[in-house]
Amino acid sequence: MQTSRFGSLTVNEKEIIYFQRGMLGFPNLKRYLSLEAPGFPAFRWLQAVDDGEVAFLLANPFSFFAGYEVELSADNEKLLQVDRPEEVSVYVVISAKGNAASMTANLVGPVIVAHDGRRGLQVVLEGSSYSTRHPLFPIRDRLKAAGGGG
Amino acid sequence: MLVLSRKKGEAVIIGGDIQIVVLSVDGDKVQLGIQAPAQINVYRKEVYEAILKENLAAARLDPVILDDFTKFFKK
Repeated sequence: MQTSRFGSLTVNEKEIIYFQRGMLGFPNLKRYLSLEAPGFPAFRWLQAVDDGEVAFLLANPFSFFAGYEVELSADNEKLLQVDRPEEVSVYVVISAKGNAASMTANLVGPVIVAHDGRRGLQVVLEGSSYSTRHPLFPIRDRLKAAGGGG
Repeated sequence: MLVLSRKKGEAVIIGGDIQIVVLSVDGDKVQLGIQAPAQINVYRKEVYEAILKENLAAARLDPVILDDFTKFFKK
């Protein structure tokens, strides 16, 4: 397939992660590939198989946010075809409004992927006090990056 | 949009499977009880829309941001 970010990719059916509900805002894009971000083990790209322009940068939230907690409901476990919450990996979607200093993570809508890599799901953490735009970097670093001296 | 008035204790049923009942009314706050099949998700609209908005922005993210990330850390 052709992608806007990674050029041409060979799609191996066995590597496709199936998102029964798609991603919020993209309910029709149900098939994704998880790609390494070379040099950045804490990140992965979730590339839509059916739309080469759509890819989400995912991060391992536990590298950035100690104490992040996600509860997996029994219904979601069923959707992911896992028996126990330990059988999944949790990622958060990264966005940015400019340079890397502005990178934020959506802690309210994590992406959960079963360890066997077959199914994924974006869940909505109702009633959490987390932010949809949690900055990756402490304010001191962001000010420095913005040329605030120091 | 279908507009209905319900009093406390009254309900609406959607598609035969989904039921919404007005549990209590307290000033401008209405407490709703929602019964839906397990595979149907129910969210507060503002939470759902916030995530939707983030996804739409995130789907356009340019990988060059990771190059910037390296430079940022090397400072």
